[in-house]
Amino acid sequence: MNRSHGISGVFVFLLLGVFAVFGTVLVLLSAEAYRDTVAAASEHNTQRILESVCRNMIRSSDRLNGVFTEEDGAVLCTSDGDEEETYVTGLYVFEGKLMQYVFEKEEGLRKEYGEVLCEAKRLQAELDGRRLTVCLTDENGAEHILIMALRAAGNML
Amino acid sequence: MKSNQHHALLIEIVISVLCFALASTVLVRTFAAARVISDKTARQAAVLLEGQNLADSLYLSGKDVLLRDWHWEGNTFVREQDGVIWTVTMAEEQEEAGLFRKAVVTASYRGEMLITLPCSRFFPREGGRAL
Repeated sequence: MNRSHGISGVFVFLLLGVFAVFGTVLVLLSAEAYRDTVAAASEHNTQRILESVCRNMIRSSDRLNGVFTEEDGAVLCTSDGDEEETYVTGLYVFEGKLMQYVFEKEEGLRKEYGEVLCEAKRLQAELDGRRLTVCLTDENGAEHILIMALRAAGNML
Repeated sequence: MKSNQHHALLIEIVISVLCFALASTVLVRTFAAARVISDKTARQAAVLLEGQNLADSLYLSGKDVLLRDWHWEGNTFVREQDGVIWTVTMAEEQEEAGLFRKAVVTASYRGEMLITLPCSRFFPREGGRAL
C-alpha cells in the first residue's frame, strides 16, 4: 500500500514536471515568434515611411528646379516659394535617424533641429535629369530604393 | 479518505493541464496568424514600392527598362522575383496629336493579385514637348 502511494506521488510530480516544461517551452517559443513579428513590422514601417514621405514631398514640389540634392546626395531638398522668400524642405539622416526640416533658404540647414521620422543609417539621393533615385539604409542595414520620374523639367542646373 | 484526497488532487491537476493545453492551442494559433498577416502586409508594401519604381522607370525609359531579367510571353513581359510574378503589358496608340504609350504593371503571389498599376505617357507631334 505504501509502495503504491509512493508511485502515485512520483506520478503526480512527473505530471507537474511535464506541465512545467511544456509551459516554459511554449512561453519561449511564443516570445521568439513575437520578437520576429515585431522586427518584421519595424522594417516594413521604415519602408512605408520612406515611400510615403518621399513621394508626397517630391510630388508637391515637382516643378523646374523644385527638387535638388545637397552634400553629395546626403540631403534631399524640395523648395517652395518665390524669389523674395523661399522655403526648403530637407530630408536627411542625422545621428542614426531619418529627419525632416523646413527652413528658409537664407538661414541654411540645421540638422539638429529636424523632426525625427524613423531610425535609419544612411540616405543617398541622386538626381539624373528627370530620374530621382533615393536609397535609404535602415537600422538593420537593409536598403530600400525609391525611383521617381519627375513630371516637370527636374534639375536643369 | 487519504486516497480520495489523492485522487481529487490528481483530477485537479489533470483539469488544470487540460485548461492550459486549450489556452496554449489558441495562443499558438494567434501567434501563427499574426505572423502570417505581418508577412502578407510586408510583402504587399514591398511589392507596391517595387511596382511604383517600375512604373516610374517605364515612364522615363519605356521598354528599355525591361530588356534585362525579363522574358517575353505572348504580348507581355514577365519576370519572377522572390515568388512574386511581375507582368508588364505595353501598348501604343498613334493619335493625330501624337503618340500615346501606356503600360500596365501587375504583381501576383501564389495566384493572388497583389497590385495593378497603370502608367501612361503622351508624346506630342513634332514641335511639341513630351509631357
